[in-house]
Amino acid sequence: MSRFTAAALRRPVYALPVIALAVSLAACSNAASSSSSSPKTTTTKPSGSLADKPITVAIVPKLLGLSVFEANVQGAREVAASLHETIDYTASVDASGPDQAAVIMGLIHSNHPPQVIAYSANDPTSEVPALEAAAKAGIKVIGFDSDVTASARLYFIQDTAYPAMAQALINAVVAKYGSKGTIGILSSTPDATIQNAWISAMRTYVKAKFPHLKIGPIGYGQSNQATSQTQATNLINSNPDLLALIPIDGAAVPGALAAVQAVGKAGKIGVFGIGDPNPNRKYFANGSLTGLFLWNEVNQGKLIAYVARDVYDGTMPSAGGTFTAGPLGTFTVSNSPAPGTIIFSKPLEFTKANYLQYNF
Amino acid sequence: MTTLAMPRRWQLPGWGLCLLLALIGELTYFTITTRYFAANGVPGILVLAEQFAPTGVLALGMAMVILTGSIDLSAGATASLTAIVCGLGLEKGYNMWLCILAALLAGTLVGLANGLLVALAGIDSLLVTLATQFIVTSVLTSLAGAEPPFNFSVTFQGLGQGAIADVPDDVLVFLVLGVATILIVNYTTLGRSIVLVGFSQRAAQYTGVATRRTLASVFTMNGAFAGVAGVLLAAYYNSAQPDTGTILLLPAITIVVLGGVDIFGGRGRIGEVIIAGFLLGYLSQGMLIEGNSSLTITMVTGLVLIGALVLKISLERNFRQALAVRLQRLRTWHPSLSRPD
Amino acid sequence: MTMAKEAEPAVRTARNIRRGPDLARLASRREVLVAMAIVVVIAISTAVHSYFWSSANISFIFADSIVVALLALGESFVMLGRGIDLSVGAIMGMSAIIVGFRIQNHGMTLLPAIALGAAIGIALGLGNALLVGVTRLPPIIATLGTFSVYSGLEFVVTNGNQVDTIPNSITNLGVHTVMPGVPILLVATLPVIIIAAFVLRYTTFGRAIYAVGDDAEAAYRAGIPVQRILFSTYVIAGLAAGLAGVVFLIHTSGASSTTGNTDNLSAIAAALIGGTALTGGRGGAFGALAGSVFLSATLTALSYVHVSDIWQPAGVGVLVLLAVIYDSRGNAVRLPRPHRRSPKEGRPQ
Repeated sequence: MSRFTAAALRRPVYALPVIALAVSLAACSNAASSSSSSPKTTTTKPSGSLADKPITVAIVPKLLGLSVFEANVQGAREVAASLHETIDYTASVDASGPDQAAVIMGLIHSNHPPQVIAYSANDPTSEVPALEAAAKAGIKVIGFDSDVTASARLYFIQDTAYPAMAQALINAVVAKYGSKGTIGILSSTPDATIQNAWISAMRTYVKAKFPHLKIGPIGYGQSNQATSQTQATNLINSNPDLLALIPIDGAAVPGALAAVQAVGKAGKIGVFGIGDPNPNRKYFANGSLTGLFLWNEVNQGKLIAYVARDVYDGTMPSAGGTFTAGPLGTFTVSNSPAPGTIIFSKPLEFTKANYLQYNF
Repeated sequence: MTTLAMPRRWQLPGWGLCLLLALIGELTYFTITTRYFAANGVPGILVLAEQFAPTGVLALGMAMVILTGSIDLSAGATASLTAIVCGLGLEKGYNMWLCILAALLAGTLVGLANGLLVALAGIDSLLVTLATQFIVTSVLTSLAGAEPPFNFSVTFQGLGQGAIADVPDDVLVFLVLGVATILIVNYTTLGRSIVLVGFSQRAAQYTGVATRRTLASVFTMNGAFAGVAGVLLAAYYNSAQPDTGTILLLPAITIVVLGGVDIFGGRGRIGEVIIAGFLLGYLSQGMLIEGNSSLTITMVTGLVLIGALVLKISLERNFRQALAVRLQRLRTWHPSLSRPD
Repeated sequence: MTMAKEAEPAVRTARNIRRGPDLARLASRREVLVAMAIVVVIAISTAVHSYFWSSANISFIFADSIVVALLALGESFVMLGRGIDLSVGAIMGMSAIIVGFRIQNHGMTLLPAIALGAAIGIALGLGNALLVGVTRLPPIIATLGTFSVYSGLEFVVTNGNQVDTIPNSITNLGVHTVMPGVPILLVATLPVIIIAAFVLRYTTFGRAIYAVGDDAEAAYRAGIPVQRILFSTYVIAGLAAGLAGVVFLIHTSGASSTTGNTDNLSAIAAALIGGTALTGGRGGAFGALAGSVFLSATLTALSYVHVSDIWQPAGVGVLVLLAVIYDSRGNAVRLPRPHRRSPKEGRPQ
């Protein structure tokens, strides 16, 4: 690895490692002195055309090895060259907030700290101190998929609007199974932020539109396919009047489908969910899965790259403003549900006709 | 096939030295290869220790438990529980010290329950704490609810993020508790009982040591230590998540074992555990800064543990043999010298 | 290597005789007890919720317990020899991933898949066996280390992909039943458990495991190659975990880099509930199956009475506590034994 060579050691210290104790470091190279002082521009060189300056964007999703995040990274890498970006992809092995915080601290202190960090947080709070440290060190922080407290980041790319997703799901159930009965939900953990937002959005929508529909029991599959399958089976068996099952976690969808198939209720109990198509290819192919929603993860990755560039260049609008992300189109920054939120897209429905187009 | 019959009481005198040298080597290596590591001098390096000080605190309590030949699988979950208890109290606006006290109390109670089950019912500690770990996990998940507590007062955050004379608070707590643990183990009756119980519970009992009380106290202390770790975690992360402490269990056990404490009890020095805490902590911090993924770090940690233990065992074996040879020579040279035992 | 016939007497140490009946009968009594407990759980649950006693639900309880049953079976061998293996979950994960990719991308069929799973299990089990049997690391430490390494390898092997398309021809084994309530998977796994039970009960090798677990020093004096026996228990645990990986694929039709991370403790819990003691020398193969079916049935029952999932771990914890308290109640020896050490070692020489 080149960073261990002697040449690397002679490289000048070029950014300020500021965490509270930075003052003591006056002796370092001249480049060091500016990054913390002016939050708007991070570069020390007089900015002629910022947009040409190569930057590193670190994407830190919840954990390593999830195909949806790999798709994000793939999308970001596709447009990275045109944006003069290098995409650095790292994450923790466990889906744990504290572990993720450690990874972020490592990035801040590394020999080549990124200019932008894009995270998808495991929980809304544990990463905050680390992200604040990153901001202090002059790193721009943006979020995608799963947010933290708004003060710890500049912008957040929300997958879809929560009510839109909730409506798409409930409408799909009603269209196929009618508006009378109980719906079971299979989530990941009781404190999963987005999942809880979806559940409450579904509750609100059902309450307003379908008085005879009931959002009933909620199972927690711990983002683990085997556990999800067990919980789904138990939900089905212990609620004989179940109309449909809505798994709202990537691992929960195949778990719920396997469970419905195993108890011989395929077709009788509908499965409508939020998840990626890959784990469910089999069920698309045999027609037992309709109504799977998500968003285009690859394009979302591209948006991350565009936003990262704009944030670094300081060309992102504040709330209410719009910006263009190349071929992806125009996006609006809004202050709802949280400050600096960018809604990425409408829910994307995967069907038997289109599921093969997506590889995540 | 001979090891079974060999005495296993030997304590390698140089193990602490080995660990210290490894720590110095590691710090030197990261200072050379990474820009940040030593950029802020000693205070900067100490700040890095903030990240693993709670793990170290957990390891101290665990070290005492393992010294008695027991183990506590529930310590991590207990730390999570106390973090959440503390966080919930703070969120409700109770006095900070009251919340900390409640958290420590919660940890102590779990520890006491473990201790009573181990000591009075005489059940293997691994079983007891395996069970309590499951139960505590349920309780804390239920307590945490849909929105685990976060965003505490600045004063409370200061506990996890502040510093006194350039030493971060939680590192200070780790060091102070470390010294306290050394004092307890080496200079109190309880400490002697802990080691004796670990050495041989039966022998301890025959010599009049209150083995049950010793075991109960050790588990209770460990619960209290987990409570301290939980409070530190809540302060450091400014939030209390259900998995905050749970994920620290295996690292804590790794530290204790790397620190030379015999997993069967009766042997080990707390000072070496403290050094091992810094060694492992800086290893993962340094590797993160070097840009390694946490995947590499997990695997390297596992390999270091195995490698160090293999090394230690073979060193001890050689040391024993060398000693035996030398004693033999001594005896032939001066026949009046009796066997050392 | 054939075992000396003197191995037998080593099993009957003074302590065992004092405890009363023959080891095998003790073990079978626990299995009967657990089986009765399963019946009670099913009866109560059915009274509360009639659907509980449906072939689909009973079949699911069985199918759901097989993965843990196989892990617990391997773990039982290790625990009988007074060891512990914290890496079986990761071994299962590795097997599920590698086999899964072969099935998904190369159309591997079931029998080669089982062979490959077994081979992976043996290979990874050998790692533990070398560390415990040859370098003589304490098992809890050795397997803690290999757990980190193996679960790291899972990420390396998956490299961002996951196994998600296992053909129905294979997954049907977990769904289809030979008779109402009895999935093919259970029938297919039974021979493995019967063979294991036979080996443990009726072969010199099996008895030697009990002897080593009961008192390694005595076993050594009786001429049993202690380290070699320990070595093989870890290989067997690996083998069982490798097979469990294939069963995992059949049951859940997918696998990812985190597969198996949480199954170590379930396996130990199932073995304990099934009557295998952590202190070695007591337990058996059927206990592993009974323990995991009991766990699966109880957890399913909990959700039938609408106990939140959050409390399921607590349920497992309480069951483990009950099982071990029951054990210690039946244990006449009140004086706690020195922890996993032969009495000889305490003495200076």
